[in-house]
Amino acid sequence: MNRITLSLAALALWAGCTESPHEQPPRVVEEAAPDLQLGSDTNTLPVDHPWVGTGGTGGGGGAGGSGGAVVVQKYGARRLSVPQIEASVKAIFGNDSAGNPITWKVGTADGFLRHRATLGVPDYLNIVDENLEPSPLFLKFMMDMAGSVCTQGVVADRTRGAADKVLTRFVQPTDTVASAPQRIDENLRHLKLVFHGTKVTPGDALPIAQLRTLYTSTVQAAAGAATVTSTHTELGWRTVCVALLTSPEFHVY
Amino acid sequence: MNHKHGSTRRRFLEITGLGGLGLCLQQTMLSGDAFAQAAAPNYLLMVYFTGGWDQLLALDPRDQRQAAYRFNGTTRPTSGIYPAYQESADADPLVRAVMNATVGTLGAGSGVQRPGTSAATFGPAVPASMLAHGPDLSIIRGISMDTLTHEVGMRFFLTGKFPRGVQPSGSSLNTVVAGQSVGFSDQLDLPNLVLGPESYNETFGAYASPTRVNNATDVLNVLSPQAVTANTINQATLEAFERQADSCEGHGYDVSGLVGQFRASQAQARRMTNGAKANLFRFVTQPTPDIAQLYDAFGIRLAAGVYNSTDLAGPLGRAAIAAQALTQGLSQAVAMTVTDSLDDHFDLFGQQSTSQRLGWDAVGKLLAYLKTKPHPFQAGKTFYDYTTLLVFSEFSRTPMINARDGRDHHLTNSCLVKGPGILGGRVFGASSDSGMGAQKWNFTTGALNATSGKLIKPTDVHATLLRSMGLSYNHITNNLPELIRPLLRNP
Repeated sequence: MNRITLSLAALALWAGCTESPHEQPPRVVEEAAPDLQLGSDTNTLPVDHPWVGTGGTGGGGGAGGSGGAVVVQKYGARRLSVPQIEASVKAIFGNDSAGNPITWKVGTADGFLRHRATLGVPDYLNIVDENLEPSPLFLKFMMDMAGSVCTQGVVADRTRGAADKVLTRFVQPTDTVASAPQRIDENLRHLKLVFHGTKVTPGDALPIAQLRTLYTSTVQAAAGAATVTSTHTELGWRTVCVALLTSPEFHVY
Repeated sequence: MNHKHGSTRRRFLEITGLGGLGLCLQQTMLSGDAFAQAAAPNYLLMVYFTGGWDQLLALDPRDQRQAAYRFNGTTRPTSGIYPAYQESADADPLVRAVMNATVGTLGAGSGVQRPGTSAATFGPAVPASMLAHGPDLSIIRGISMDTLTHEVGMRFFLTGKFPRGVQPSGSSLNTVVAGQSVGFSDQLDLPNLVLGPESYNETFGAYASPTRVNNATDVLNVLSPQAVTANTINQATLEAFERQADSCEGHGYDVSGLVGQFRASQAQARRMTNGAKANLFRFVTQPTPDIAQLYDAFGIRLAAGVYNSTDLAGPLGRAAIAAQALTQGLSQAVAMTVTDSLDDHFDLFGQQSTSQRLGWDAVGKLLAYLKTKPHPFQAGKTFYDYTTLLVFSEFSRTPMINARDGRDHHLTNSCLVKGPGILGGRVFGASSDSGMGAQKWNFTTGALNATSGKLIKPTDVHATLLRSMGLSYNHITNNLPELIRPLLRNP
């Protein structure tokens, strides 16, 4: 056989030896991390242990591939439980004008209570472990929840004193990025701190840049060619609120 | 020149020969099971009887007339197995009817039913609605569960992998089926619908994640567009933001892929919102004519123009939800529970057979319904023809009655399977005739082989079902599965 033949044959053999198309790539993302001195070829995981790190080996031919060092980068992130989310929402939004805690409403029912079983909250009879996977079902209900509480939050802010406002503490009713950029940024920094626990310094525009864009585009889309009113800005703050409440930074710690 | 660079017969054979070897390796030695996807999508129905079932009443019966299974005065049965059909018949008239029947049974007083000429026999708690599918049903008996803990047995049978401690290992079968069916399942609103039991996704994308609900109202809520959205402009702006959102915190949290999973689930959550299909699950007591027709197919009771709410909340209602999800193009895999707990350590007579019968009846009616619905892509075929079925419990109950008229936990189990790739009317394995213990089998011939055979495990059941569907079982190869070839249509 000449070289061309050999090359074609090798290519054909390789094609037959490639991985099954169903195989999913490992989800773990490696990052630079301190050496915990676990990186050694002598460390082999149990036979069906999930793969850890780029060069790691999940023993026994699991998803881990073969050879290389096991590198543990960081402790694992976790999703908030449903009771934790409920408590956080109540702590952030406070009470409505009638003095009732702002919480997820489905009609007049309490959404956290109504969907407790579906969201997998343990009843310690049939379910003893809470599933903390960020599943599509969980996200669907969290989007519903965010829509509900953010609408209530905007309404509640209308009658609150300036120091008690949650979503609009540092802005005036018709403020836009064009008319009051500093107040808008200050309010976004406040919301980032309240919802995500992230303190953004006044000189650091990056962490709030996308939120500012979101606020602006929502207000512009709502107002169109008309003069911006408080109805339009409330829609903007509500959208920012939903974005913050449905982002992984709120749900993961 | 022509001879050197052109195609020759010899060179063609060399290339195709090596290429063919490569392809053979892909399907045999290298991946063992990497079948190409079947042309028509397969559906999966996975039914879980919770609490550990009395298999003498259903999938592993014994002929009550035989001396080995009867008390001799106060002397225990010599087999260590007591079906107790007579006691169940005293508390349950439908068991009594089976005990009295001469047609469709091994004989009056046996308590063992045999549908047609099937090799598979059934106990007295299996109703006619289930036995009607007898020629397509096969039973795997003598499965060794290796645990008497409810959660562990359940998670073992859900994933096919023995749990890590009590924690599940791997993805559940319904997720594996949806996860491997890219191009089909990821186009559906609820590819992997779960009515009750636990379900896990360890390695597949968000599209395959189980949507775990409790009732039709939950499905309605999941499919309904957000109840409180300001307007469509707002929604589109928000989605654009989500697609671009990137932050340092997000990267920090994503070390185990959690944020990526969160984003993928968010996109899937938006996809599965379908207001039109949500109405298919408006299971009220005074429904639309279409849904009333569905209720009637499942025998949900109607009185004075109002359907029975207890039936709707029970096994029949759940089976109707599964029927809608599969036949209306919402789901590829449905996992469901159909009974209240069967964990009858006390006063088993009557209540175990009644509970099981309700579950079996719901499954039987669901299968019958699937037979009436044409397959979306296969002319002349129905959903039934392309649905693979697994019915299981986490373990079984002891073959002898305890001092409290109940049965305790027992290691040896059985399950029911059916599917386009599974031969019907067969039995693989058997529990022993003494104490219903697990035994070793030759997985190729189906013969008992106490010396060099292998115990049957849920792992083997999973591998066999996945193989029958043309799907990979690579994810359980580290648990040493063996294909149950006597049940495979293409072994």
